[in-house]
Amino acid sequence: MPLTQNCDLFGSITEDAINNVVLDLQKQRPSLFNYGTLSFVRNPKLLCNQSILNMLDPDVFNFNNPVVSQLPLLGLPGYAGPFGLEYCLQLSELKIDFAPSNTITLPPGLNPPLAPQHFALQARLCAGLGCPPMEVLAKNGTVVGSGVFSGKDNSGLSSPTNPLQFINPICFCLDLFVVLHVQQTTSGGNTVIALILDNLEIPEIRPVGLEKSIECYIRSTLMLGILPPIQIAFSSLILNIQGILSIGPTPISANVPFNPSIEDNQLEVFISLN
Amino acid sequence: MSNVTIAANVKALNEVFADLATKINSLPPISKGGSIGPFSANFELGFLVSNIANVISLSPGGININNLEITYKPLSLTISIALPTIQIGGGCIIPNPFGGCILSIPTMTIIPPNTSIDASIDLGGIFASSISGEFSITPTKQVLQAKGSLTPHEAHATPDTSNDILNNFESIISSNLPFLPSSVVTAIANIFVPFVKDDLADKWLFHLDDIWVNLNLIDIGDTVVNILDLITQAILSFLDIPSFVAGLVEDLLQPIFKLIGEALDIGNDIVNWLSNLFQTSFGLINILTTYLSNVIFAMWPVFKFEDPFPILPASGTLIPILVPIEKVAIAISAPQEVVISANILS
Repeated sequence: MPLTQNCDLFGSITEDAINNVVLDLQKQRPSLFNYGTLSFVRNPKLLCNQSILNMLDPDVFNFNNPVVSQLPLLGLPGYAGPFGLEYCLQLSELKIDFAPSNTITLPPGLNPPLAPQHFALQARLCAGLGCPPMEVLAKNGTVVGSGVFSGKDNSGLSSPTNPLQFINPICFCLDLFVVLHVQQTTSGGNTVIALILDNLEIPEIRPVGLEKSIECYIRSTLMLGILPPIQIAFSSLILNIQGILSIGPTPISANVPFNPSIEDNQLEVFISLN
Repeated sequence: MSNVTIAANVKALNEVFADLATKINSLPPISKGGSIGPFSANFELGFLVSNIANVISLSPGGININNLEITYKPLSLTISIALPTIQIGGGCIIPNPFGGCILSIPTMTIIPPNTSIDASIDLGGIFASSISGEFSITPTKQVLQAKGSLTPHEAHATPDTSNDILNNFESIISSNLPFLPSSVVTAIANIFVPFVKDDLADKWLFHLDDIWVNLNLIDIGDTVVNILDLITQAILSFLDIPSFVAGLVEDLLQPIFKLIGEALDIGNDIVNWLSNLFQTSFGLINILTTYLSNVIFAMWPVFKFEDPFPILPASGTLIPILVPIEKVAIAISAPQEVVISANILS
């Protein structure tokens, strides 16, 4: 059957292609995936997940591009001095799996395998805290003085400017699994293409209450904060290409029940001329 | 197996072509002039592409263009001759022995200064050509020697100052047209170099390859239709009738004129049919056109993109994100669609 049987233009991209693009991004613009305070910016070898350093494109170094995006020091409640803790955050092993399931092994809590027209995301989130040795804490505590006994109001977090020394960060990594689907829906009287969150899970966190709490927090953030702005108005997808061609998504019909459609491990888009 | 696929049907191809034709029709005409001594000449030449509805179709071998009509409008030539100033008289008949002139012949200017004779020929909207042909599209990868051991990002950021492309084009022209002197070969090659020369990154180039081309320099049918149109407009403008009546008459006559044009084009249609059947061009001009267009199409790509492809541009000091693209292929699934496939690598 012709690919343009029910449309004028057809495009498809497989999960392999998208995962390759993500890998290219990680290799060539690592600062999008690695965040940390000054010590991690200066010495990326301190990062928790070292695997990303081994796959960097040599041109990142040739062109003096940063590996780590700099974050401010972590303030300490009740302490008003100049010192703060160093830390790093990393997002790695980001993958996508279009239905049917074959790339990501979903945890049992997400009811594998993927349902038709659904897709899964997997990411590994690593974090590390530059924990200062006791003697460093004692020394700097003596020099600066304790906020509790200084008579000042130190209830808020300060904005530290000096890092507390540490030897190696204390690291942990979490795997995040998310299942989503794409849906044409109505919002404010307009037809929109929206990303709908079906479920998410961070396995292996104990106690279970902590796992559920973190999952609840991420789910709420995604559903109320991150996903709604990703809704794309159908009308805004009608593009005028260089003043030559006006195109838009093919409307849903019996022949095109899903647009975009997720099947055969790829994302398919059907486009019509206007 | 490819991991990215794009398909366009015949309607989409015709829509793109129709919109391109509209853009071509809105381009200003070519206007040139020159002078040698008292002679000067100016010409104005414009192109109007018509018959663009469904001009493209697909066959198993490639993309077909069917009777694309090009009318030359404006098409005018003005020749001027600047005449020298000519004066007669002014001589002295009775000179004054003490100086001056007692009686002189009156001066008469036969040709005053800045006088010229102009002759204009305006053939705009009369002559039309038509072109038909079948073309295949081949993607090829261009890797410049000048790139050397540069990394992809270095090649992307380095302008091509080498003569690699020029040398390649000179080689194409010389091998196909060996009788041309080297200065002409270089001049022709230099026309096409700017269409390809960019940076030192590798590129995928999409070249047309014509299987057969039939060019009617003067398409009898279309030219006759144009003449009939002009005559009708002249008669209607001479008669003092309301404009809506004139429009109605023109609308009524159009199908008849078109029928006459098509009847006169039967010979041309037979040649196109034979060319399509035997996959070759008939006639000396058409063979020459095919030959020349193959040389041009070997140099001029209809479409090109970098490999690795920059999916995110450079941002400040951050390098662009370059994605390698391999196994680019074009398949024509006649009569429905053209399918472009490629592999995105990491």
